[in-house]
Amino acid sequence: MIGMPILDVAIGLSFIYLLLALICSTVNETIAGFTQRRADMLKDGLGRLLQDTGLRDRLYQHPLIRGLGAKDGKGPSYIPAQTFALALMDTIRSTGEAGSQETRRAAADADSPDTFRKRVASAGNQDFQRAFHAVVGESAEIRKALSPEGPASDTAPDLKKIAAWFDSHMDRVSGWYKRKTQAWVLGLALAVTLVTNADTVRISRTLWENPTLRSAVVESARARAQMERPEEMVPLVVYPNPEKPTAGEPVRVHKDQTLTDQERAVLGQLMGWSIDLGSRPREPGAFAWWLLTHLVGWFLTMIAVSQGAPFWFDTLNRFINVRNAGRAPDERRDKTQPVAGTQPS
Amino acid sequence: MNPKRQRLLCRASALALLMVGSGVTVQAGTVVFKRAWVKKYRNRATVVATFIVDKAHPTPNRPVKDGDMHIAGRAEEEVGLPMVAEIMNAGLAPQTAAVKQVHAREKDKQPVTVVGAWRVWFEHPAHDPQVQFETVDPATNTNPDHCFEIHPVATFRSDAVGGTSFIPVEGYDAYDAQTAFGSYEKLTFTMRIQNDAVALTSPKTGHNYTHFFLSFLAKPQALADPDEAGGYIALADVYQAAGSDQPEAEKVRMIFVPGTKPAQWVKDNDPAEGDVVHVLGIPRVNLDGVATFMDAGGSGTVRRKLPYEIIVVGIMH
Repeated sequence: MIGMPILDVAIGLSFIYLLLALICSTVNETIAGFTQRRADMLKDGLGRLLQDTGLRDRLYQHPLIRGLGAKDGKGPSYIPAQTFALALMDTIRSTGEAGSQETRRAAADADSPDTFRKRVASAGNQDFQRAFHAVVGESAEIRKALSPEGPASDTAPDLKKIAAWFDSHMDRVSGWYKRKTQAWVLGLALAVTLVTNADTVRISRTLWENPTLRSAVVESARARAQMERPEEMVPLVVYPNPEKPTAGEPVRVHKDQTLTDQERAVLGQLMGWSIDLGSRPREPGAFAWWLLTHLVGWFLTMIAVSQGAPFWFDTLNRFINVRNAGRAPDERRDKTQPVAGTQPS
Repeated sequence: MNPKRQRLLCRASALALLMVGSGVTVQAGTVVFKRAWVKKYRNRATVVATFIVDKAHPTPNRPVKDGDMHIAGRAEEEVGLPMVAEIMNAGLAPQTAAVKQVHAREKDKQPVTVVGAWRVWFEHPAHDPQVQFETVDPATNTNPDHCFEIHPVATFRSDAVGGTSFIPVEGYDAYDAQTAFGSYEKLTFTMRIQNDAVALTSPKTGHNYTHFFLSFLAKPQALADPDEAGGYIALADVYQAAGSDQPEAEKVRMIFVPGTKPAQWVKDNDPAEGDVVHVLGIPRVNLDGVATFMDAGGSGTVRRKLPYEIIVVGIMH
């Protein structure tokens, strides 16, 4: 049977992790508002795909791509493969048309292999040309699509080769982005952990040894658990007037998630640098132990905080349900079985 | 090392690792919709599609499974996504002509007009994002990766099945309200808003058919779209049992598809606030929620509770 103090410590830790994750989330969103990580990663990935940043930038000016971006002029964070293929073909064609006199003179023989190569050559550097020719070869369809008379059709089989080229490269870009995002979340969690000196070992010890503070933290945790689940469980829309089921009102279009004064006070009592630094031991052996426990504590906090606020909100609620000797939300009964006597007839 | 410290360190580490180690990875799917499409269908019950049948079940599912006839195909003009159409209670005699039509169109690949409830639900998500109005390859089996359905079908070519198939599935154990709505209420999704498109990403969802007690919060409203004559929409609370005072979900949009028995029931009974009826329903993403949020200037990436509504597909006896 689990003892109440250790359950309260678990509640306290979940609560602290939740608050820190909320801080992380706010910092993350603020930074994301100023930067455009996904869009930047996509642009970088496209540069690598085309091997020519000049061509990539011209591609980004194409109306099909510009239309996918945000209203404030930021680049898109996602480009459909066929849109890419169409925009690339159109960019190459228009570059060719605005290009050398030789290319323009060849208009009479617009879809000849020679003109085709010249058009591709005028659009991008040698690396791009090699990659492009490797993908489409000497495709007659692509040649025709690049000629002024033959606009690209998104059903042309060879255009699909370009889309597939884009897709396979974007799989790798997604992988980079995922790894970068994971690293970013961990980095942010580490930063918040260190700035606040949120040491899981020290917090656990403080909660374990101080019943008064423990009770206060549990009370704050209860209050937080009764609030709305962080962000992701907030609805998009509510329908305040039952007579108007098509007149929804958007919810929290602009985000606002702040900690209460009580929660800030709790954080202040359980973490921070001033008291901790003042009480650090001077003797080398004891200092090494102090540092070791801090490293372990910071590491645990960083991993925990990187799980995100919704995860800790749910965990906190589970612990509080157990403490209240009530049923955990998922322990009611086997929900996969229909209730007897209420089957469709 | 001080034994007390050792114990404390071990206890704290075990506790923290136990708490962080319980995360699970779930399959998720992404569908990228045109904003104009979302806006068009946000308050419609149905979609009228020019549908090409790629693969269909030789015979409908047995009622114990769900009684549906699965038809994989494409409607590139109106939908532009990998999709299936499903006829409810397809094994019943009144649906025989429609099922024959399905197999005939599967053979000759001639486009056929299919009318039914549009349904976005992440029950069979694909590994890669599915982008609306990109070319859709023909399905190679009856259940390709898809998040879009015409389900249930109300009319297949000229065979109207809405009046005979939108009824409870005899012999099928639908989920009870507590199970199904308990699940729906916990679903979250991510919405990435762009200029002319919106990408919806959700973990795999389930709990297709659920039966529940629907308590009207007001008189149902006729669907406003001129193509939807005979359809209704209402806000309602959802209960596990008649007389229960604890709703499983509140203010859920209920869709009554034109030309079906449930819509006829609304017309005949003219329900008012507080009236309760036992129904069978299936969930779909509430695109009005998505559109409303975008219209209000929502931008960037938003992670929220998945907005859902219920297609009422049967009035329980």
